[in-house]
Amino acid sequence: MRVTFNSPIKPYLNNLENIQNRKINEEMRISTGNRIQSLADDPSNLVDSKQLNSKIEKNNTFINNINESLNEMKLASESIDFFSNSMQKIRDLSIDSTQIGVQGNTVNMAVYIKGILDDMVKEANKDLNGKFLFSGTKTLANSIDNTPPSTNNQPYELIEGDKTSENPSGLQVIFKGNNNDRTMNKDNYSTEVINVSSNKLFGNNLEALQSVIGLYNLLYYKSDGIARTKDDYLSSDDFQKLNNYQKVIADNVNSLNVVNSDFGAKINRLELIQSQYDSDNIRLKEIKSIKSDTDVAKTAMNLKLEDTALSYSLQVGSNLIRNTLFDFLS
Amino acid sequence: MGFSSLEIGKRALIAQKFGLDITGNNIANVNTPGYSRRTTILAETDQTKQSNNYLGTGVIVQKIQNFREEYYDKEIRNTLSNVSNYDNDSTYLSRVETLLAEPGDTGINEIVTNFFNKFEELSVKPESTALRQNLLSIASTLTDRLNYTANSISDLRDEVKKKAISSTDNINSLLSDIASLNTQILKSRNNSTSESQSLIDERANRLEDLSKLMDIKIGSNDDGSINVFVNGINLLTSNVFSSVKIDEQVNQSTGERTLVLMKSDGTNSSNIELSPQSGELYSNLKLYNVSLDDLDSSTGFSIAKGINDFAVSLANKVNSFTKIGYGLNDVAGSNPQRDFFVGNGLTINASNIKINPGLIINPSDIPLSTQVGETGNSEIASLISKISSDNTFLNNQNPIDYYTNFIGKIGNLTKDTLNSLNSTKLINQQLNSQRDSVIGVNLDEEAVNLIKFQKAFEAASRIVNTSNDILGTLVNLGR
Repeated sequence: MRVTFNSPIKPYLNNLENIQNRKINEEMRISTGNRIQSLADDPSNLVDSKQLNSKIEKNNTFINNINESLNEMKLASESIDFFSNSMQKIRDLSIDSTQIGVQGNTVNMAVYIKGILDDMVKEANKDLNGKFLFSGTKTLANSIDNTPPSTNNQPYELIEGDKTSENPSGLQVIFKGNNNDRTMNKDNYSTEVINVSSNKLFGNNLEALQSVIGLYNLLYYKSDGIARTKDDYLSSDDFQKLNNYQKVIADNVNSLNVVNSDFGAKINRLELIQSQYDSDNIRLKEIKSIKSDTDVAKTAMNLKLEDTALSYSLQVGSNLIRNTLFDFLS
Repeated sequence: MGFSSLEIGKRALIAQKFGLDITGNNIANVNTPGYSRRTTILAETDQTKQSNNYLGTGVIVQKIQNFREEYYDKEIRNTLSNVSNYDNDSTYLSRVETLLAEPGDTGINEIVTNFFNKFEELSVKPESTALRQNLLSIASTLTDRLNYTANSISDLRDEVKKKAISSTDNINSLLSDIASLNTQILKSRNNSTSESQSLIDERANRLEDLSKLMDIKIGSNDDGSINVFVNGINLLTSNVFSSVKIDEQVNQSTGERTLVLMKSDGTNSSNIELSPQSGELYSNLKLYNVSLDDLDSSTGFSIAKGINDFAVSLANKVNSFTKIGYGLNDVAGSNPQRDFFVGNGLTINASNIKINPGLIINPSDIPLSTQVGETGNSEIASLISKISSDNTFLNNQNPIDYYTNFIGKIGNLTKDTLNSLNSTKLINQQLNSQRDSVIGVNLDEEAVNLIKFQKAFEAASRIVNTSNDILGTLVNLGR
C-alpha cells in the first residue's frame, strides 16, 4: 500500500482518542466506585442492580415499619399486663370481700376497687405520640365522638350516669372507639394485626369492666340502693352475685393472659421477620455490588494498562511527523 | 541548420516548468481535505523527417492525471451517512441519559421507589402529619422530575426539528453548489483536454457533505456531470435540481405531529415524499417522529411516550385509590373524592402532572382511610404502597420493573448505536486510508518529482544555451 504524508496521522489521532477515553472511564470507575458509568456500559446488569436497589429500599421500609409496630406493640403489651394485674387484684379483693362481707365494712373495699377501675380506664386511654392504642382505627382525639354522655375526646371514659336500682352508683364505662383491626404489611402479600381490640381486652360491651362496676355497686350499696355502713353485711343473694362477678373477672384475667401471650408471640414473629429482612439485605447488597460496583483490582490493572498505552502512544506521536526526502536535500 | 533545437529546448522548458508547478501544487495541498494528487503526463511531440531520418521535436504536456477512484468515493459516502446517523443518535441518546439522571442514585426509579415506600410507612402511621409532609415532599420531587424530564425531552424535540429544517437549507445549498459545479466541469471539459480536477475534488467534497445529511446514490453522465438520487427519487440531474423541504403533518385524531422530507418543485401538487434511510437528517426525523414523540403511534421505541405512559399510569392508579378514601379530618357525608395527582385541565401527562394543591395546603386531607372518621385506618395507604408490586401497572409490569426495563432499553439502544457508530467509523477510516493511499500526497515522491523536473528544466536550459552558442558560431563564420 502506498504510504502518504497523512497516512499515519488520522489513525494515530483516532487511536489516541480511544486510549484517552478508555483511561478516563477507568479513572471514573475507580473514583466513583461504580463499574457502570453510562447506560450503555452494561444495560442488563444495570437493570438488575436498580431492581435490587428497589428491593433493598423496600426491605428497609418493612424493617422500619416493623420497628414502629414493635414499639407500639411492646407498649400495648405493658398495658395488657397492667390490665391483667389490675383485674387479678380486683379478683383478689373480691375474694377478700367474701371474708369481709361476713364481718361488714365493704365500702372501703368498694372504693379501692373503683380506684383500680379508674386506673384501668386511664391506662386504656394510653397513647403513643397522640395515637390511642386500644381504640381500634379511631386513633386520634378528633376521631372520637364527644357527644353526651361523653365529656371528653378519649376512647374510654368512666361516667356517672342515671342511678337505677340495678346500678345505684350510676357508674358506667363507655367506649367511643371501634373494634377494627389495624394492620401492617409484613411483605407485599401478607399482613399482621398490630392492635388489640376493646372486645378482646374487656369482652363484648366491656363486659369485664361492667362486672367490676357491678362488684363496686354490690360492695358499696345495699339492694335498696342505699350506701352500706360498716355494720351492713352481705346477704346470701349478695354472695351469689359476688360469685358471678368473680367468675366474669376471673375469665377476663385468663382472657387477658391469652391475649398477652398471643401478642408476645406476634412480637417474637415480627422480630424474626425483621432479622430475616436484615439478612436478606446483606445478601442483596452483595449481589448488587457484584453487578454494579467496581472491581478495584481489575480496574486498577486496566488503568495501568491504559496509562502505559497512552505514554507509549504519546512517545510515538512525538515521532509521527517523520523525516522526508526534503530533510536531506541541500 | 534551423531553429529546431531551440524549439525543442523551449518545449522542454515549458513542459518541465509545468511539471514543477503540478508538483508544487501537490506539495501545497498535502493537508487539503479531499485533494487528489495529480501528475503531469508528458508525451513526445510529432517527429519530422530530416536527411531521410525521423527526428524528435521535443516534449509536450499531454494531460494532467488525477487519481480519484469512484469505488472509494461511493463507499465513503455510504459509510459517512451511517456514521452521521449513528453519531447524531448517540449524541441525543446520551443527552437523554443525562436528563434521566441515569445511571445514578437520584433517578426517577429511586424517587418512585421512595414514593411507594412512604405510603408503606404511612400504612403503619397514617396519623403522622410529619410522614404525610414527607410523602408530599417526595411526591413533589417525583412530579418535578417527571415535568423536567418530559419538558426537556420536548425541548430536545424542538431542537431536533430546527436542526432538520436547517439540514434542508444545507441540502438545498449543497444541491445548488453541485449543480453549479456540474456546469463548470462541463465548461472546463469543452475548453481543455480534461476537466478541471479542482472542480471534481470540490464536487466530491460537496457530495460527501450531502451524504452526511442523507444517504444518496450517484449516477454519472458521459459528459462528466452527475445525477443525485435519494431512495430512488431523482433530486438533481446535471445542472438542474429540485429543492427539499420539511413538512409537519398533524394527525387530526391523536394530535401527533410528524415531520416528512419532501421534494419540492415549487407547487404543492408536485411534492414527493423522500424517505432517506440514513444520515443526520434521517436520524433527526426518526428522533422527532418516534424516539422523542410523546404521542408516537408507530411501533418504534419512544422514550417520551415511555415516560408519559409511566406518569399517566401512576396518576391513574394512585388517584383510583385516593378517590375512594378519606382524610384525617373528614366527617360523615359524601366522599370528597380527592385526586392525589392532577394535571392541567382534564388530562394528566408527564409534563403537567402535579400534586393536588389542596393536599399541599392540608396534608391531613390526604385520603388514606377507607372509612370516614377512622384516623388509624390506612387501607388506602396500604393499597397504594402495593402498586409497587402490581404487575398490571403498565405493559404487564409493575412500576419498578417497567421503569428499570425502560432504562435498560435505552441502555441497549445506546449500546447498539455506539457499537454501530464505532464499526462504521472504523470502516470509514479504513476506506479513507485506502483512498488516501491512492489520492494522497507523498512528500518523498513529490521531492523526487521536484528534483526530476528541476534537473530536466536545467538540462533544457542547457539545450537553449548550447543552441544559442551554435547559432552564434554560425552567424560569426563569415566575419
